[in-house]
Amino acid sequence: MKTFPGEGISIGILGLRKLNQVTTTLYNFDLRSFAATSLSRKIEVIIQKNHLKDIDALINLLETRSSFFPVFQSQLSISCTEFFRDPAFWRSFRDDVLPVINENNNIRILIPGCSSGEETLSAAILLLEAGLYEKTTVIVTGINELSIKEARNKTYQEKQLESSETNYKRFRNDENAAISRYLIRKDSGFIFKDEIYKNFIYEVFNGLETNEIRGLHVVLCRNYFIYCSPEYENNLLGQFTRSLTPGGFLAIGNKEDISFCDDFGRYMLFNSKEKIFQKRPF
Amino acid sequence: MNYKLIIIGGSAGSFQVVNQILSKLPRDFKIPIILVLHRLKHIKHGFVEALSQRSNLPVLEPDDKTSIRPGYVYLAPANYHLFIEVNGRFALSTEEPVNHSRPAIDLSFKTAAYCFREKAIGIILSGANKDGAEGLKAIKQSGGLTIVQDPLEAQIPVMPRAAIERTLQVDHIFPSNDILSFLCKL
Repeated sequence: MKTFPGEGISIGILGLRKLNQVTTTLYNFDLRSFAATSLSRKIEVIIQKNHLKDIDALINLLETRSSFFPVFQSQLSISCTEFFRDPAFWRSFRDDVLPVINENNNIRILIPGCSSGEETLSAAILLLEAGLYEKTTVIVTGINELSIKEARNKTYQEKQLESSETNYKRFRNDENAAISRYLIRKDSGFIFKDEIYKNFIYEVFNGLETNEIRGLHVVLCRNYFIYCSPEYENNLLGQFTRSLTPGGFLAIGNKEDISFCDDFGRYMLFNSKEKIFQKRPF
Repeated sequence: MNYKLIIIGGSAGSFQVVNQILSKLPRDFKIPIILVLHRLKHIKHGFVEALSQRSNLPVLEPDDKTSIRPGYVYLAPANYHLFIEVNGRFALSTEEPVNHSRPAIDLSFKTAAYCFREKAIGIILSGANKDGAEGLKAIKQSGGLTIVQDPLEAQIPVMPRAAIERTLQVDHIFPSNDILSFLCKL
């Protein structure tokens, strides 16, 4: 049987609490903004990836070597996804949302959490194909400089791209569509052409920033809240509300929920199946 | 024993068994039931409807952070892993497939074991891979009750067999009729 990362190790609530004490006191980084179970699984993976024995070894490393912290933080912020995940969402984004935001002279889109880049690159490809990329700025956030650098220079392996090709064909409704035309071979994998990254602006966002981004037409935040605690999700949604222009769009994952958040009433449903919301004008 | 959660894992050949259970459980059955069934990732709609047709209990796909409530049947949504958090809510994840599966039965069962300990019942039904074996073992180890569909009856016995081997002392190996009558007596 294929073992999965972290099998055999189990990080309980006590371990997380001990770890959090170190990250908050030494680095002002509060792990309680993460959802507990996925946090614990990510910590397990980090322990294995860095060849550590257990959570105490991880805590010790964070205490004694501050240069490890950015690595830890960046590994924690990676979540797995695919290009054009949920093709039906991307079709609705292209066919229903783009015509509305196209009325603006310049389009500003925020994608929180660059992760390994799939969501940001899917958006760029879609905009490019729709002829709107030239007038768009895609603001991509990363938890620190390291994670931004890794996302920008990411090499994708052929195997990773398989499900993405299937999604892309479904999105385009075209058996012959191929995402590979945006790729160039590099070493053992592929990288995306520079033109795809052209209008990206990267910003460090670790949840503590006070200078908020303004004037956004879209916040593309799919499957990000699932990794946040309810309190942090509520807080983030408040920030998005302030950042969005009236009538601006918010997209969340198709199984994510914002109805418990304070700002839920500031939005109206634009597409219930694909969980696209629109900020009310007042 | 006062059980608080029933979690059922299955793959190919489990749909009929789940359907049979849901159609025969009493309408006032209170213990929440979580179904983690392997399914196609791009087909998001229709599964809940198919299960609801004959079910005596309301079936729904939980959103992230939904509270687990008595009297409901929850189906793990397509293309996400389904976790149970210590605060009694669901949590979703898009992390990589485990045992080639997302949702992976192992992951949901492990979180159920961690949060519900001896108050959890884990059930493994028919299926063609070994997902669920580790998870059922975790339920057994934290004091929960483990049931496996009799491999002789299961349409595809790979999953029940793997669960029995891995868990060592499964509490009950039942044909589907006996699973149903056992649950009705709770």
